[in-house]
Amino acid sequence: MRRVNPGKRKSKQASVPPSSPHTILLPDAGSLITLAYADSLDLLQKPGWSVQLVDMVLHEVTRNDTPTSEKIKQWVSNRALPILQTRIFSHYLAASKKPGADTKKSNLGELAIQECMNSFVFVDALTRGVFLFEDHKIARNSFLLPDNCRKITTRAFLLYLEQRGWLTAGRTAADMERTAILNGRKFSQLRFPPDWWL
Amino acid sequence: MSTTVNFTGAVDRDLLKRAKVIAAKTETSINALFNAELRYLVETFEAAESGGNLNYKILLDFSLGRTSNVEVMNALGITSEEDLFLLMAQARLPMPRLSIAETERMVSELNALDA
Repeated sequence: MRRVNPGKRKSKQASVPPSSPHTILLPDAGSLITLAYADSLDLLQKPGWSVQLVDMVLHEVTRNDTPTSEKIKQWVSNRALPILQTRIFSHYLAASKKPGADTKKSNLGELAIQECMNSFVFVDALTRGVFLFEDHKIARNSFLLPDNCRKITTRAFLLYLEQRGWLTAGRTAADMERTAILNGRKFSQLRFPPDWWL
Repeated sequence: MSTTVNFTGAVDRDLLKRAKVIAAKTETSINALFNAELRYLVETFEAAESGGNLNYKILLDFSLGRTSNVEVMNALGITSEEDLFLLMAQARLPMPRLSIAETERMVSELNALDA
């Protein structure tokens, strides 16, 4: 796993996270999408942990033109968040460049995240990785988790922020989820007309 | 007029609390809200099924935690998590949820990181 800053992908040699005691937060696609629809991506930085993105995950949430893709791209760029490079993403890029390629897309984000999790085996015990997912990913995917990593749902993360008083005054974790759904529903009716399932 | 029957079920405590607030605000009963939402689900499902469209059933199975995101995305021919989120929002189906106990365990894990 390599870590680079946006715009400097080739300038920095790969590294495992540094050896000082700290926590690294790595959100999956679903968490980024939910928080982007809730206009709350900055909540990821509230605990003061290092927020880092997995390259394949970032690609997944920015490759299509959607209400959240540009928002996420800008947020990552403005906050100069490190992007972790994975072999999965580089293989995916190489495969998709082949003429007539019909490259597999599903599950690649999860595989890249597992690759990042594996790399935590080699960091010092005081560095912790918090991997953020939507509930369904944790319920059904069997990630192999090193001792210094945690699988946490977006909902649990929001509740943690709420308990710490880090949400905007008067807002709850449930409010954030509701905002995401309402904003998503507005756009969904354009993208998928109601007769899509009738 | 159709016949009504009583039945026993279980519901998330917090969800019921929120439903009671909505019932009070709209001057109706939990029973009326439950019937309206159940009717919406049943009628949407049946309308889709009668048209030979399985999309709603596929999303419902996902909502109930019976299928994975990869399975449902393959079945619907979509390639992004965002489209799945949008379809669930539009279908008025909740995303699959872990139990409250499991969620609270994770919150404790996060608190332990700061200890």
